[in-house]
Amino acid sequence: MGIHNEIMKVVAASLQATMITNIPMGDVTRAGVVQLGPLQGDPDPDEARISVTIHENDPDLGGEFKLTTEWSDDVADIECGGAVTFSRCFSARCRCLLVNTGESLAGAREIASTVRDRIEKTLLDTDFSDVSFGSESVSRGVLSAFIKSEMLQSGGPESYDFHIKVRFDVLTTLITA
Amino acid sequence: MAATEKSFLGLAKQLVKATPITADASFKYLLFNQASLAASTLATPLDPEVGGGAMIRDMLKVGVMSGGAVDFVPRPDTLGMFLMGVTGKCTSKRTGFIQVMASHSADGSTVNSGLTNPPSAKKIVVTSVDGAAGAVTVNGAGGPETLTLVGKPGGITTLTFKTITQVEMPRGSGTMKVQRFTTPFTDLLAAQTLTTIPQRFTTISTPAAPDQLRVVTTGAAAGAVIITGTNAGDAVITETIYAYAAEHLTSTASFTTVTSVVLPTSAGKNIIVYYDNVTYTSNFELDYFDQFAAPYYTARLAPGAMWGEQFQDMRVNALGLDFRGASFVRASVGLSGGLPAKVATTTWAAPTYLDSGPQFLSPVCDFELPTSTDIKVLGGSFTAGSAIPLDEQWIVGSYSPDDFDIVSRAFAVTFNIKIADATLYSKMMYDPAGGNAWAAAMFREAAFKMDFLSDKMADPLVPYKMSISGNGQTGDNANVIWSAQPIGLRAGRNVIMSVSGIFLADPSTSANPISISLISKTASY
Repeated sequence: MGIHNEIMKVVAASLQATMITNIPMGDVTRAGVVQLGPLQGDPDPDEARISVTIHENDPDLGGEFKLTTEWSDDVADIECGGAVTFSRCFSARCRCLLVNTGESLAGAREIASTVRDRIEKTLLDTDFSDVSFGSESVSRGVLSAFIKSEMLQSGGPESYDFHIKVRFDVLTTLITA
Repeated sequence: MAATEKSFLGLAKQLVKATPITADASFKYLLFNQASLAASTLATPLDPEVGGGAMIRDMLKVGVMSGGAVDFVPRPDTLGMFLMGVTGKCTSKRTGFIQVMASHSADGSTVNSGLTNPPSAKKIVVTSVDGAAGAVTVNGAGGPETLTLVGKPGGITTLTFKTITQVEMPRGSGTMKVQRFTTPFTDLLAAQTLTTIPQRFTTISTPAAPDQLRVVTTGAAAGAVIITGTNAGDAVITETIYAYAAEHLTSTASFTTVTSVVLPTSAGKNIIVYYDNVTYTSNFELDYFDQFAAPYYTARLAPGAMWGEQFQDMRVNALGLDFRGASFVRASVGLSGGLPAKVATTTWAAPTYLDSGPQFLSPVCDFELPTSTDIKVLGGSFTAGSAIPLDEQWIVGSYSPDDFDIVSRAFAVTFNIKIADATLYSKMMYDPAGGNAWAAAMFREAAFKMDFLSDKMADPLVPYKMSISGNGQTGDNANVIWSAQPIGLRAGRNVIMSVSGIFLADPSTSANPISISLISKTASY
């Protein structure tokens, strides 16, 4: 346990609400799963159809995305008297593997775009004000100025495959005194 | 080698000049980014004299003082100390109640539905705004507890007064009077009608025996009443009480749930039950009777936690708040003080008294100019300055300055605004009335919103917040004048306008020229 896990749990709960709970059953943009860390085959991406995973930092450096710059936690501010403010970096990944549901390219793109938009807005709207662990607490939530996102399209008819990645950070202040 | 992060900087308000605070629990320590607070010695060389040779022959210490500047990310609780330092007066009242039970007729019934449980264990506050009397029993986990309203409108001192030398009443309407808080509630200061200016009264009767006092109001009278006198030991005491037309009783027990409230019978009266969230709204302003007044502070500094220094009689000579989008609000403060001393840090326990509260966050701040018209502020500042010249403070017979008198005060605000039309620019640069021809009149507007907020809640309903306001007027009666700087146009950028507002004395004297309210967990400053 630690502040990272606490932050990710809040993000997961927000995404769970906006991507699944609040979306009617049968809506083509409804996600199948939201979870912390990679799916590891449970469920399979095609079974989940739209899967959202949340990660510390970015596990995908050097991967298919162009967002390959360093995404490590960093010290944002140090205060005499005993406080350090960290930039805690995370990424949300989403895969829309639209198999066996017959979307046209336009329809598939619309779904992926909606999902991407929903993830970004959810991150911006998430309330971190009560998130803390020990003497470290979130001192600034997700800001639009620091969000970076990317979407890649692959696959083809009957199996359009969209990969979305959204990088975000929050500031946490650790009282060390 | 010692890291600077191990350093401690604390302040405590002195009751009087020349008596530094030594009680450890009186200090509040702040987190800061950098500080140059230190003792400052004035040394002078011997005059060159014929026959004395080629070199300076000696150097003598002739004076000492202390002071410097601190840059920090302000937290609500300690920011209040500096607001007090640059304004000089503060009154605080409890705020942020959460209702357990909405206003209910005092009809002798038992209310057991529609009750709200607290988010965590909280004390209970039973209130009557119209003088209901009788026992209120609160049942629930943590209770039961019975609180008895005595049907008295008004605030009550916690201190016991033997004599009363002065009572200061606020602006307003209606009347206030001061009574001894023992039946039959003898009047010590008869009912006084509130006016548009604060009033001080110095002819007040002495209680038959030392007692608590209460303030009784009529009409819309409300606000802070400052009572000064002596206690049973003849020491001078001062207490500020906020006179509501209401009675508040706080339970000793903390409740996690409330299952029922048993009400008394008090014809035509009403009772409300709250959870006590111990959140306070403090209002900082210039003292109407002495705009140059300011408290003295004792500062403690432990560089790298290696040694301790104490600086007494410090006054705040400057406070600046800087803000820009997507960032914390930042602050700098300047302090001027007297005699330094090296002291032991053994008992300080600075981490115990460290203010590690939440930062103010620019994305949740809210600015409007004028009120109800949002402005898109990229960044800006608020500055408050108290001029403390020392030219006439170095006196014969003393190594340290005689005092730190404030001779003038200034408050100003600047905004860098992204603009989408010419409305504000035209009013500031050309004609406050909106005409196209240049007019000599200044744009005066003191009805604006300048709210600095945290995304953390002081209680479940109220966030930490600081608001700055002028006299609230528009047009000729407004006490803030605005001017715009020439707009610099840069290719590939938005059109940005920089504006400055300067606070003036209130033209009518019927309002405060500057008021700063702060919602925090601190009961008083």
